[in-house]
Amino acid sequence: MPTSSPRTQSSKPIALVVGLIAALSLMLSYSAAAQPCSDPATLPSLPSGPIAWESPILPAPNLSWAGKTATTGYRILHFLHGLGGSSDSWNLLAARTAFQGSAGYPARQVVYLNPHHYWQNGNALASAMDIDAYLSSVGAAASAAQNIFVEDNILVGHSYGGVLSLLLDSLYQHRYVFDRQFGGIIAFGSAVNGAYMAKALHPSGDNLAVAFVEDACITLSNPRLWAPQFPAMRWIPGLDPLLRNAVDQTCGLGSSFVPFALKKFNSPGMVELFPNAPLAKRLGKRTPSVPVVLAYGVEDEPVFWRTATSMLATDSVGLALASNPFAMDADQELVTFASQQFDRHESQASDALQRAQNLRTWAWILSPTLVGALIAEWQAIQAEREAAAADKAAAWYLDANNSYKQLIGARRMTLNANGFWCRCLDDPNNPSWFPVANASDCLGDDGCITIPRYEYALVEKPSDGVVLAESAGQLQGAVASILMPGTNHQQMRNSSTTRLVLNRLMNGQVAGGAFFATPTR
Amino acid sequence: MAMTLSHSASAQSSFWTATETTLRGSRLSDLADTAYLLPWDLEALKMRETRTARQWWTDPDGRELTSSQVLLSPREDWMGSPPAPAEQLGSPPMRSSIPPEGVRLDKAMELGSGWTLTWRSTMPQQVYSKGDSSIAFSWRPSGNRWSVAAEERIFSRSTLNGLCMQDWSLTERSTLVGYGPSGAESQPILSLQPNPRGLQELQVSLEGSAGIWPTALRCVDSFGRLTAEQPPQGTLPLTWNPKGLTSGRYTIQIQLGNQTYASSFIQF
Repeated sequence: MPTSSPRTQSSKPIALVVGLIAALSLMLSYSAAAQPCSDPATLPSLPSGPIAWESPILPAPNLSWAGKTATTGYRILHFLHGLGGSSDSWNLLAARTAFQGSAGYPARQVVYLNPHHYWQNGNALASAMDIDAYLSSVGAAASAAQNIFVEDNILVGHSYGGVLSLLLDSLYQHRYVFDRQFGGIIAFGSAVNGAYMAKALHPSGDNLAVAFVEDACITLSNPRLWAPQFPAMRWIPGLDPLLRNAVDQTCGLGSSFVPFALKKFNSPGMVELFPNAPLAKRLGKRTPSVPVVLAYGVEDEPVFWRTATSMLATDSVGLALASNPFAMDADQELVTFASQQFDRHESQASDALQRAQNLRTWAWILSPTLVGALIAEWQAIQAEREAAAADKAAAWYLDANNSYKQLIGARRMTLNANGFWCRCLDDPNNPSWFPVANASDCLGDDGCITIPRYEYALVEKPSDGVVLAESAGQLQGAVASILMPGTNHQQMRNSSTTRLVLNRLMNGQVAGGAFFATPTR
Repeated sequence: MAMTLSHSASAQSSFWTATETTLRGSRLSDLADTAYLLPWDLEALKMRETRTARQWWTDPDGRELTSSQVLLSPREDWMGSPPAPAEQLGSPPMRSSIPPEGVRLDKAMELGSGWTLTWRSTMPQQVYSKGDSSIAFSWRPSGNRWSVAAEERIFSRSTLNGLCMQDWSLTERSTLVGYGPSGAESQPILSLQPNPRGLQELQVSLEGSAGIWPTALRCVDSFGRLTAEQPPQGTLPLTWNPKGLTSGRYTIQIQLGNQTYASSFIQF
């Protein structure tokens, strides 16, 4: 008689435990994600006033560096890219700065070095160490060969590159470990006080990047929207693999436009940019040891679509940038696209509702033949659902900018309960709505119901579409904080405003910033 | 002494107009839920109002057409102007009688895919429903017919993080004004005040159609020659001061979609 093995004997309790865990998981997920959806009682919220606008409070310019100037004729500008960037983020501008210049931008007495591509697979310290190794080897050797004092050299950082520049400045306090390799910093759009967006998007934070694209996919790839035409597929180049995977899972492969453009949003370095992270809190409050100029962008509305346009265009304007490194001013394309999509879906919703109305008319005409009437009514329901899908898609294009601004911390929306709506059906043809302080104030008979009433308050902050102005523009001890109006995070490396900022700095026209003056060739 | 001249409208076998106001937004069951709402679901809670002037008419080929003109839009400033209205096939939401013949009140009729249709006896309302979703049309008497006064749509959904929400909209429609193939039922009348006119501004109104935005406003002389024209500057009623008119008889024309309404006045 065969005997069961000990393994077989123990499989029943294991199966029982697994089954119990599965059942508990199901129950928990049901309670968490499938609450009863019956009888929602609220009404949409009403605006309670104008948007409150919180501009950054910038520290006074630090003029104590006014006496510091370069000591030799030539210098090296070390350009540092941001997260997801590489050597070619800055190389066209770097080359034109060292030789030939471009329209309205004379070449300076600068020795060209290919911008360094630093590792981004570790934390900020690891990246800073990589940059220091480059500066103290290649940079120092080039400086020595050209008889340049290394502390005449300048770090020009974009975004995370500027943050790393300030981190390096702090590391250089440890003189027994490091030799200082630069004497000034220009930081474009650098979240020196942390980035709200980093926390909102990173998987270790609120992890909303994936949710954002999933919501977009669910809304915009609704099959009811496919007719008569579906928006052309538009991939943002270099979409982060995690986001691309979310898109593929939710939208289906190659089916939808994904208006999200961040690369490397989930890199380890982003965690240190969380506003409450030690690095972000420390760098923003530390007075730098060298002259620092911050340039911060404030993008025009719609911030999201303009930033997305620039991120989409980064790779496609290569030809224009080859002849003019400041050619990235245009950011209207996706603004127009979003407006057109809103209009298209509004029109589709209107058409579908009218079609439903026509079908109901047919159902009424056909009512003696009941089957035909019911078929027409069913078709009317299908048209109504198409209208609902189109309505939701239109709302998505309307709201995407504001939703995105919430993600980057540029918009805060709070709901406040404010009494109740009293809705009375005393005149069935004309129900009345009026606000009351207490539910008991809704004096009525059976024809009146009370519904909680909410108002919302909005606070907005200027941003470059990725980093808030209050983070990129505030640093105690900085020589100056220069506003770049109408410029988004991606543009600020290669826009005509960038040209203005660099010309002002290298012409010595920024008060207290004599160190940045660099003669033309 | 005031003198009112005859009113004329371009001939159509039927023409109806009404102003539609739509409120829409998402709603949820519990205020506490808002703390867990994702940014886009929070934005969706905002109430949005859309107001349109809609017209239905029968063209010379006998087709029933409709077009609408946006009076108030939830568009953001950066979206620019809305597209021009376009015509489409469509009949006005009117019936000579409701409910249709043979329909039993308060009895749900199965339509397929879980949807049912019920004509209610408590009030003149037809309600389509499926689970927590519903589409309700409230009817009211309109002359010797019935017209849809309000449309309420509720589609339930779950957010990505599992909260229950509903996409809600309520469309309220002003009383339909116009006339049908059988003749005038509530024919729009263009009225001008004061008439005769001296140096004052004219007030131009279309009875029963306040809130409609004309696409053009013209003044022609007794020979039909254009003497003054004004681009649309708001909703009816409008004030207008066609300057430099010599004494005589003139006609004010307003354009609503493809409809022209005219009324004459005397200029002293």
